[in-house]
Amino acid sequence: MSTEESMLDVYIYETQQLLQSLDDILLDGEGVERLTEDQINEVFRVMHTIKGASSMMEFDEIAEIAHATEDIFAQIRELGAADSQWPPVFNLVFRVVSFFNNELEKIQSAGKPDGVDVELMNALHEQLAQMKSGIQSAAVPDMPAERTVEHSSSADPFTPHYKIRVLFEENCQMEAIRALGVRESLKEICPYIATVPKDLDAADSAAVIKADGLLLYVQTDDNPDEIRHRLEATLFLKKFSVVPIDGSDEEVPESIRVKIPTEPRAVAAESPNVGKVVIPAAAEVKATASSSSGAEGFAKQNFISVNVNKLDSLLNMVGEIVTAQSMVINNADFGSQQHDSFDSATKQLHTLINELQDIVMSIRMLPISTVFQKMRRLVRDVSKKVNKEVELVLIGEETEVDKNVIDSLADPLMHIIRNSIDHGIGTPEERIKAGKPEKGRIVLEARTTGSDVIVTVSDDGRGLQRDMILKKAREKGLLSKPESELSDKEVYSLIFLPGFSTKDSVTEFSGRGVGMDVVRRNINQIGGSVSIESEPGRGTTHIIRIPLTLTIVDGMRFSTGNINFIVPIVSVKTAMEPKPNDVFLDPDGNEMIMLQDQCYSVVRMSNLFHIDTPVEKPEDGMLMHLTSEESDFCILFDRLDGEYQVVAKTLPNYLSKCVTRLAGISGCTVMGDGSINLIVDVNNLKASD
Amino acid sequence: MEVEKTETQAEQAESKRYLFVTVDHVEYGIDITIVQEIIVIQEVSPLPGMKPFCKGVINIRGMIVPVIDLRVKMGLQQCDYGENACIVVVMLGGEQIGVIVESVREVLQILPSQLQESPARANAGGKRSISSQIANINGTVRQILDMYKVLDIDPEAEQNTH
Repeated sequence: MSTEESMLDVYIYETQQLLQSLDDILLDGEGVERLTEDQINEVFRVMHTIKGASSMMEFDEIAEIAHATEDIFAQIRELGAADSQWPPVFNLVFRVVSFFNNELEKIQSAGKPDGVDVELMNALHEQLAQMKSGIQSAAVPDMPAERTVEHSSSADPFTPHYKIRVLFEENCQMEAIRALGVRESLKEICPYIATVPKDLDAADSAAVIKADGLLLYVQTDDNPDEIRHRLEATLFLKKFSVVPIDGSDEEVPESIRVKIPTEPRAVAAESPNVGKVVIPAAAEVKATASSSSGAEGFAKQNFISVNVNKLDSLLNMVGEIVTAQSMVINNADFGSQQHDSFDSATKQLHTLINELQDIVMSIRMLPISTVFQKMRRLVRDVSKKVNKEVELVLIGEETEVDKNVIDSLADPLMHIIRNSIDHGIGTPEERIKAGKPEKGRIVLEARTTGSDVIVTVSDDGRGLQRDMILKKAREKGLLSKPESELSDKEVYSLIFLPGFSTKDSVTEFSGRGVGMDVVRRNINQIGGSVSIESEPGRGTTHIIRIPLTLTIVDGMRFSTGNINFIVPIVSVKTAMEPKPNDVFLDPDGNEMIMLQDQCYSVVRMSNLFHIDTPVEKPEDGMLMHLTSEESDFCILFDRLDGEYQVVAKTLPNYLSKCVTRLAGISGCTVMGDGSINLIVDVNNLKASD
Repeated sequence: MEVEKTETQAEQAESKRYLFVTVDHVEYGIDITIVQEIIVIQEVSPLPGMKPFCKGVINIRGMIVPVIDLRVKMGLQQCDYGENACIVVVMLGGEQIGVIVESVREVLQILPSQLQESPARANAGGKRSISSQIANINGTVRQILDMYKVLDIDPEAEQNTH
């Protein structure tokens, strides 16, 4: 049962990889409205592989669509394609990729695909028919002289022979099927192939291949580098070698061995056309062999795939070690005496553990380009649909983030970009009238700031319309403060409220009123925050801020009464001791403070959490200016303790029955002295219960 | 004779073990299958705005566990812990919760025949019944605590992280 499951997993994983690389090729190609010879071959190969793998898995619909697409590209390889034919071809292949992705999703959730796209199939066949009968390929710039895909029927004795040995990665599974795939991919350039083990479909062939590798004896006109090129593209390939061999060598399987006429032996049934054999002089054969004989090729990749759960466990364990280390170092048993050798030992321990932490974090890090590249496809599809021209600029693709972050960013980013194209960026006519370039521009940027990753999506569109937002909020009864009191930032945050949408009609992509609040929730779930800045007429920028590590928090520790809190440093702007009369009351009786000509409300931690404290007057306590998604404000507390790096843990659910207020607390942490401190959730601190 | 024997054997198979603790000098039984461990009273980290029965949280090998004063939760006055007091950690609804008891007495095996439904309690001051059964062992009567009811936990409730 488990082997079958993992075969499916492997199929899904590999096909997804192939489709991703296909998307990349197509997007590049569409930009210049044609594909190079290499790209055409690559597309052909991908379709061929998908066809083969899907038939093995008995996903016939997928295999058939792949086959139809493969045929089109076989045609293009042979005869090229006219300029006018490329756009429809691009569209078709994009549709095919979408179809495959959908089916893969179904396979992932339900175990099997069920889509039947008759229309797509017909469109593919039609395209092929058109290309075959229609315009002869006029401009065929990079195409070589006609190259037939059909196998030659006569065994040319002067065609060089090669012995190929292929070793797959240990535990890659499905060795027999991979061997079949290798043979298939070589078939196109090698008219004759014999394999050892001879029968790849046999039940024990996988075991033989696992133990000894796969041997192929081939005959080909082509440059053996072409063989190497194709082999290198094989997934899970450990290493291979391609060595010229005398066609009449005893080692070469009978089915393709070159026979010497003086020995009129009965010919094996499988070998076609042996009757016409002529002796090749051994020297001649060797002369035609490639000069780079005996070259060994190693697979380009040196990766292993690891179950993410294992990485999660590893990360948890590292978190526990950091805490345990803290408990050892700060152990009260030691008192305040000096312990030099102990101190130096703990310093070393600290360094090692930090390094361990860094390495484990980096294992889970992937470049954010995996998410960004998906956006290219999205921008193309959406802008085509709404008839706007949009250019996507990607900056900082190499920025690395935790895998969790990658997984959670895709949907929010897609929604934000859809919104930008749908609502933000105007039609070409509008833009020209506004003095902007016809093509809209979306800049997607990622950068790190020490402890955070900041992803911004900026468009040069219409910008947020304050009046329209207020109007809609009013209609839906979402306003809690008088409109005049709302700063621009607060007005823009209104769009994050559930049920909000300013678009009158529901387009396919957005305007359903479920959008931005889900975006915010998804981002909050990974510990991040999202805010918006906008200039009417100039554009809108969404700013997503995500902590680099979810469990380890850089925080400022402070206390009120007998309760200790930790607030993440990223949310702290400044801390200060207020002077008498710095804090004043506003007309409603709320405490406020003026900082750098801006007014901020002051929230007393003692009031918010009902904590007893001797501190009455603000000047006896301390103030911190905090910044959150929605607004900035200040908190008043007793004492500031210092900066700490802590491991965050969630609070048990049962506590909701034990305390009067949990809003504003995102979790807790075990400090070095064993006490448990609360971690402040700045975004929800001011929320009422 | 033989019929009696098999009956007892069947009963033995169905008997359950209970941990008996005292609260305000009265013995109460707790189903041992939900008891994770018993630990000494230790320093508890306070939380803001705690209700009277909650003393705070402690750290048990990396798990954050709330600590409840069973006396107070059962509606009695708070008082100082004696030297025999300890924390009984139970697992309910997928979470661990620590309960402070006056002392821990013994573990007894109780046959179904020794359990009875507890008589209807006078509904004093709106308090909900916290024990559904009483154990009658050779004349000594002890109450069995339904910890779900004591701690106000819905056994069917789904676990979701906040």
